[in-house]
Amino acid sequence: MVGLETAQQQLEISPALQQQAWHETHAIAIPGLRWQAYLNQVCLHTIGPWLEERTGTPPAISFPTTPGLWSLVNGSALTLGNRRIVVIPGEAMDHEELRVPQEWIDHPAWLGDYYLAVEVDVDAESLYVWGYSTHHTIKTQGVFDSSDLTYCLDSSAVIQDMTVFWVTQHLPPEPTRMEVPPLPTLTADQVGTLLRDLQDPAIALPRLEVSTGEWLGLMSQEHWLRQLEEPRRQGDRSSASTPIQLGQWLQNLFEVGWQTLEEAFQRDSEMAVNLRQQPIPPDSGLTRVKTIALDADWQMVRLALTVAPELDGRRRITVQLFPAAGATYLPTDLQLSLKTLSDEVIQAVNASSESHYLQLRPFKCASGREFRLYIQIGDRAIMETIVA
Amino acid sequence: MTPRRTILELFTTFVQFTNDHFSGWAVDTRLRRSMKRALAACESSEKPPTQSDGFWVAYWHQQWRQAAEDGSGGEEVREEIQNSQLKTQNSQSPIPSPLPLSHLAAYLQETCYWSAQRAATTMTSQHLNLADYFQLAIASFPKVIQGYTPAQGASLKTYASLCFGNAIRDGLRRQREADSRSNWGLLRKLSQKCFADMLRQAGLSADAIAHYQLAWNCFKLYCAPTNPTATRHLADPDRATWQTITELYNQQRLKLSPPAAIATPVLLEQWLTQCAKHARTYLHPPTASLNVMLADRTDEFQDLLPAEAEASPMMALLAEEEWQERQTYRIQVQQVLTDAIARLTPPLQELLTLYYAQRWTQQQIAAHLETKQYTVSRRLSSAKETLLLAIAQWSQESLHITPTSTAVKGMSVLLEEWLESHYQAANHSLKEASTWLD
Repeated sequence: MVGLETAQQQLEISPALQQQAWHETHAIAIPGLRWQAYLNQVCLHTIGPWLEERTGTPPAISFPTTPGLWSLVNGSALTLGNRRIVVIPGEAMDHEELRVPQEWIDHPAWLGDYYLAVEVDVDAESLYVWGYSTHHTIKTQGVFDSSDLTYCLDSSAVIQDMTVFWVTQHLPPEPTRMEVPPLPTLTADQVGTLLRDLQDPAIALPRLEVSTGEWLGLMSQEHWLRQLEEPRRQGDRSSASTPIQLGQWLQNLFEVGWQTLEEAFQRDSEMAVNLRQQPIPPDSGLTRVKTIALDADWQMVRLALTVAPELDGRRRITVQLFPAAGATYLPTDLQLSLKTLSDEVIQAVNASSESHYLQLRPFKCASGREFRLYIQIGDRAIMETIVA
Repeated sequence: MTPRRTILELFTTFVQFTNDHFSGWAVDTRLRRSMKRALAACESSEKPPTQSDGFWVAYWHQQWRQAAEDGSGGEEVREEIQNSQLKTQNSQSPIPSPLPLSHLAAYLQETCYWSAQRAATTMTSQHLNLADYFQLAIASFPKVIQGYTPAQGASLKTYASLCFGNAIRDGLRRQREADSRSNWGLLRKLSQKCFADMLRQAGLSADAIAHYQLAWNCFKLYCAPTNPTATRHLADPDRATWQTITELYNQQRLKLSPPAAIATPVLLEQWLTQCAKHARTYLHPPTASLNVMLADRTDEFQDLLPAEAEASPMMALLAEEEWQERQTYRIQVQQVLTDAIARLTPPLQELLTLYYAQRWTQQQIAAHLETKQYTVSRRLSSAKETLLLAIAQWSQESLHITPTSTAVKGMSVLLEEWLESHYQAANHSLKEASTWLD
């Protein structure tokens, strides 16, 4: 007996979409939420075209209007004809359950007709629509998990056959929705208080911190959600320089402004000698140097980055900071620090009054890992983003 | 493997493997007694039912459904299941599984064997043997029973065969992923249900599972892939990340009931490393004695009637009725489908012949038609949708069967079964037409 090969819908994810979605979600500070937003973006823009191809009409995207909102709620909504389809992407390779956040079930304006069960497998560049359910089924047969305010539908209750989905679209419509009680409207004061209370980006999951009525009430107006999303964005990156792609360095592609050791220290033969006396093993990889202006007075420093590939596929990185050409010492109280994307300090060193150079402890990490390098003096800071 | 002949054997014996080969049928004496009683009761009743597999499947399936319904509502049953599983793990003697389920499990042994056999020959998988495939497949038995809808449905054999095939394919994929991922990369790929199931199987209490689950959710929030296309080798979170994870855990732990104790980064790292270990064990189960394993599996449905139920004549009548109805439906559907196929375009008819009669793969068909596999898949789906729509519309118009998603899902499996049988019958001229009837 041949298996039901056509039951599960497998779609290809375009690599270009992956890169674009990754870039568009960079402002979300918390890694897990950025990842959630990324998966949602990839999912939405893979499923959308598929629905258009199947039905002949492009579906309208009802939620969200901006990727940042996925840092607050998981899932998207599409309108296909007169049906509302909710898509909740997941990473799980086992299709044991369909988990739907309560916003999509208990909010009268958010609930949908059909809910697609989707697995996004970015490594395989594949997306699997492994089944679907209806609002009615989820509400009646789903189990509510109060720890994360999510309805869980066991896979045995999910219709794991997409052929059935398309066929039912041609049949007299079945009841897909269940009645849900209307929500009490929030007063302006209540909204104000909630927004103030939840604005702090230190609150990782605002939807879990207030009562259901309050949270669903906030969801009624997208511009309220936006006010929660904005403070959670990472600092304005528009003035930051392009991320330094160390992976590309290993393929001999360098961002503008980076010179070789010889070029950078041409006028400092003595300095160049000092540089080579540092504990960097000779075959250890690629070094490039960039001259950076610290302030409007053109006080300069030179930043040297060395990257070497390791046998296990990781990257070994060394960061050094030197005075400008011709100077002997670094400015006093200059600080060099390495931070994660959420601004946790990994390492930091301070210059004394007679520092010839500053160096961070060499470290190893997986390729693709992102960091921030800060060079600070007084209240002025220069930030460089490094991608290992 | 020697197929079984009598009804008695079909519903009371289990496959035995020795050194990866089929070595015989093991008789379960408890089941044998039960089946003999049921057979006797039916024979001595006023209207002896048709002695066929299909009738007996209907009979035991109804018995199981009856027992499930007589029990208390959904929530309590779930708790009972969890509690009984804990008892099984902690005690030495296995709790006997419900009889109807065991009878059905015995019935499906051959179906499972063939699924495993097919997998062993088509999938040139490295280190797995026939017994491993069988085990992967039979693990889905609870889901088979839970998802089977006899009304407008295919035979249990067909439905089970599809489920077993999927179970093997999915089980292999999970093992491959487990093998190619770091601990942290693996932890992200599990559903919350799978996470809880594997910890339960490892013997953790419900409270401990809740704590670990919270830790896992906090971990996933702060430790995510930094590369949009590579998640397998997710690196160890650094100290700062563990600190942040722990802070969130300590904040959220008070919401659990009972609230959890304060945790340290070291503790959470230990817990999650343990979880990854449990995941690997769960996804690569050691080969165990199949009979014992089956008892464990059917514990998930520990019904509330531990005493062996008496075979009832009413039950037999109901089963007979249901079975007759299904047979009638199947005969009618046969005609509907034959007509519907004749209305398909010749290229689509050819496609179905290649797929179901010649049993070509989608890739082979694509090469033959000089097109892409994606296109073949698309057109096969389209053909099946047309046929399924035909069944659904006819069922509604002639039999007033409301085409809900569940009903149509049942029809979809029936369609698959019919396509298989129809095109294979065309192949073997000696094959009796009555195989479409079970």
